Amino acid sequence: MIPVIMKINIRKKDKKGVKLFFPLFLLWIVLWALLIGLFPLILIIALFLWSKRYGRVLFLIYPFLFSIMWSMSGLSIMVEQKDNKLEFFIK
Amino acid sequence: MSEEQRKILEMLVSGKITIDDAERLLGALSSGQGTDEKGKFKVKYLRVVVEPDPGDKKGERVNIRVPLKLIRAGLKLASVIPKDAQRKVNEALNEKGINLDFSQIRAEDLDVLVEQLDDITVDVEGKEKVRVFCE
Repeated sequence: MIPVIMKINIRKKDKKGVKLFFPLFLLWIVLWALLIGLFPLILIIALFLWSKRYGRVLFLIYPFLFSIMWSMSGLSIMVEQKDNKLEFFIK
Repeated sequence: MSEEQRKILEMLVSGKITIDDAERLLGALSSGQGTDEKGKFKVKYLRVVVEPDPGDKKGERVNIRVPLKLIRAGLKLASVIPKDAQRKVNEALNEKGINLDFSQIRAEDLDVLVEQLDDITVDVEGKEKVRVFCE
């Protein structure tokens, strides 16, 4: 499932922590619009760079980018020290 | 080691089952463990847990859960990077003391790694306990 929410929680002792909920689906909409808009340009650059092998990378960047986006759901990082705590979730 | 494996070994030690029975049971357990009906691994996440020594209350705790799909996607992306760019990445890693060639790692190798990666526990100088496992 495509990730829809990113949550960041930073806590420090005696200080106000930071809690951030970021709706990732808004980012995906903007990113997809950007990628679709740039597609003709990337296609032309890829064809020009095909002989230098970078063209193939540019050509494959779309499917790989989408597969990474779809795979991020469930990523979780939590680091806790004595007084500090950092949490990062993608759901 | 799972609870089932422990029970089988306890039964073997107490003489309730023979060595052959224990081998058969452990084999059946390992073949059914972590696989779905198609025989593919159903583990979804790579977990890295760092826990301080129980007496050390100032120690750092780290709990990381990375989806295996994300690692596979990253490896596939790395596989299409041109060789001269890969060489530069490997050189930069070597400078940092990491002697690893990412071009040699393929997404298919991850399944083998997951298969072999039972619960690994590493004690770091008796201060921290690092556990790497799949779930």
